[in-house]
Amino acid sequence: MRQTVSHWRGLLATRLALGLVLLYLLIPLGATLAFGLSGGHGWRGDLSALSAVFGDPDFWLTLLTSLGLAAGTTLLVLLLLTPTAYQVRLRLPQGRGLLETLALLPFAVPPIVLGTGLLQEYNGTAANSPLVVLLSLGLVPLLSNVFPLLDIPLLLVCSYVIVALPFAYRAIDNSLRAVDVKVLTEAAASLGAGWWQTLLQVILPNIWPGVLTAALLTFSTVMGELTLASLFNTYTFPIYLNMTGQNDPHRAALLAVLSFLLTLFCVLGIVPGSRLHAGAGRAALPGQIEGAGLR
Amino acid sequence: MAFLELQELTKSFGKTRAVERISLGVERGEFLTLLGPSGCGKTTVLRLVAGFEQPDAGHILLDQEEITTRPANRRPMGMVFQSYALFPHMTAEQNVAFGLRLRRLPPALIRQRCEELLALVGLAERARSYPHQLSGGQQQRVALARALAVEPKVLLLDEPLSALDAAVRVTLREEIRRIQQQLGMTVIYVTHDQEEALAISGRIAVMARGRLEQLGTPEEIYRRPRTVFVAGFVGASTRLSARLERAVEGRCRLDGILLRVPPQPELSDGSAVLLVVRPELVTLCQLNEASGAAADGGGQRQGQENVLLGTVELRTFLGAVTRFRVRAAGGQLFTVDLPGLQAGTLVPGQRVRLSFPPEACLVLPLEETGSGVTALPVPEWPAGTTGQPGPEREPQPEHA
Repeated sequence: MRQTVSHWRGLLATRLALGLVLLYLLIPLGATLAFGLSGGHGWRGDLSALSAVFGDPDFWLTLLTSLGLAAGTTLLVLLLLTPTAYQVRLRLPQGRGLLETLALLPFAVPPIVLGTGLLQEYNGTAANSPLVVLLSLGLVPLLSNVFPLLDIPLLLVCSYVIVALPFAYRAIDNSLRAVDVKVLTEAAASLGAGWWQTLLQVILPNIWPGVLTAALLTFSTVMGELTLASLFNTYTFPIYLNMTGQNDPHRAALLAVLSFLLTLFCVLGIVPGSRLHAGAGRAALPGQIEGAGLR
Repeated sequence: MAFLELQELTKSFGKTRAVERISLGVERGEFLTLLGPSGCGKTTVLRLVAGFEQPDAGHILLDQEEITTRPANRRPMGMVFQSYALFPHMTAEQNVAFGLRLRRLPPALIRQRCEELLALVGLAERARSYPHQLSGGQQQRVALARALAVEPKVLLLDEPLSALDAAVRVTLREEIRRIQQQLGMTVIYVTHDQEEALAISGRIAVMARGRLEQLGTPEEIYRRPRTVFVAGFVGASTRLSARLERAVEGRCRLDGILLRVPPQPELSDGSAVLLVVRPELVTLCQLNEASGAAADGGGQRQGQENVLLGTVELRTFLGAVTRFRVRAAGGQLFTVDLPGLQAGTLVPGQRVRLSFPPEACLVLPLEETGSGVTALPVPEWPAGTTGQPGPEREPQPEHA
């Protein structure tokens, strides 16, 4: 009897704590939504403010631009980092320290410095200086003169890759750490698998949660990034949000809620996907695990 | 030329020489075990054969074809790892099918082959289980089936039973041997467990400090160890430093005691030798104080037997035998195994008579150096030794 009372008390306390946290998160969000819908005269039960947001062509333009940039950056981050982190862990474990330091460097360089530096570098004047030519092995002049990167969003995507590097690398490297990469690779090789086959068919499914976390972090970083987009003169969703906020705070509040919901949908889409892909049954119930004795 | 030839293989990691000029041949269908303590280089040899490491020098030939620099995924080898190395996101069946799918075999054939192999290792009913749902023994069986699926020319097993408990180890090693004989598979098996090596192998290569100490059948390794290391590493033994007094007559002196050993015509009088006596070849007899047995410290002979007096220091029950540690009157420690009933009422502190025939003594010459003594490969266990079953064979050539 005493145990049952204690059990119910524990359950109640847990639910109370959970409820308080939810209230802490939801009250500001609800208030922002109410403020956004009210239009300055109190909410009268209509969704005209929301219709006005969706009716604005700039909303869709900037949203699609940001989504495109985020998708491109995420793709580039994953394509660059996953094979690199795998190869370093497999063949060059002593290089992990260097890679970790490089991955942390963007924290030390503010986006405004990064953006200004890149623009200076690729604007044609600095690109042709002998030092830049030498240090970049001729790549920077080639990219700025022959293939003018500034005219296309690729340079901005590359900048976003650098900004997202610390989060993405950590997520992927932590997943790799949880897997015996060397032994799995050797097992796959002994069965005839080459490097790419091993990465795609053996390693990737086992580090899938980390890869998706990296994707999610990169995606959300780009969706909320303002400084670099502003410096690169690209009209993205955060810039639209910022400009709208200066003229119409109610609409800005609505946009903030929409932005939150967009990220939430991404998370809800990615997290279950990662669980499905990470191999059915890895988190089986204890009762399902049969291990004792000889069979 | 053997089916798999390792020629003068050498491999270093930094300043550490892991493998030094290893040469050996493995015949088709043979079960060869690399046996040695941790760090002796046995796993490195296996990894060189598998292609996971590249040798600094030497050659690997398979079926008369040079494969030294061929990448691991293009070598016709199957590998079973100590940690199983099953792919966690795949079921047992998918693990077994992995290599077959890479070879783009028809799905029906893959399914049939998986069923056959899982049945062979006794896991047909667990085909849909994930590795974490299987016990260690079951996981290793799946790993074995997976390695066999690609029909390798050589199957490599790197301490496959080390992570399993004792009962599973014994059963699984018998199964591995059964499957190997059933399929006629060429196997290289790495272990540090000498009992496992003796039980499972066709031949054993004993390694120490990156070198091959001795290559031979389990009987040869046990009965005719060629070096002090092999004598000490494989099986229990009593090892005594002595000096040959009359080599051709097989007389040697041990701390003032005269012992009979087999004649050693190759050695000269006065040579320093190590006597190795297996514990099952020594008999113990409770000393009857009233009988007035000689109290001269031993060394006396009854017929051709060597007889010493001593005191039981320790009695250890090992199941089939009881092991005694006996200190002889001269201070030497003897290990003696007596079958169940013969152990009788012998207890620590009791005075006993140790006896063993001259043929029980294996004589290893010691090379006296400033820093100690080194064994030389020479002797052969004399024919007709009592209590040694099985045919006598010629010793294998030394590859050092």
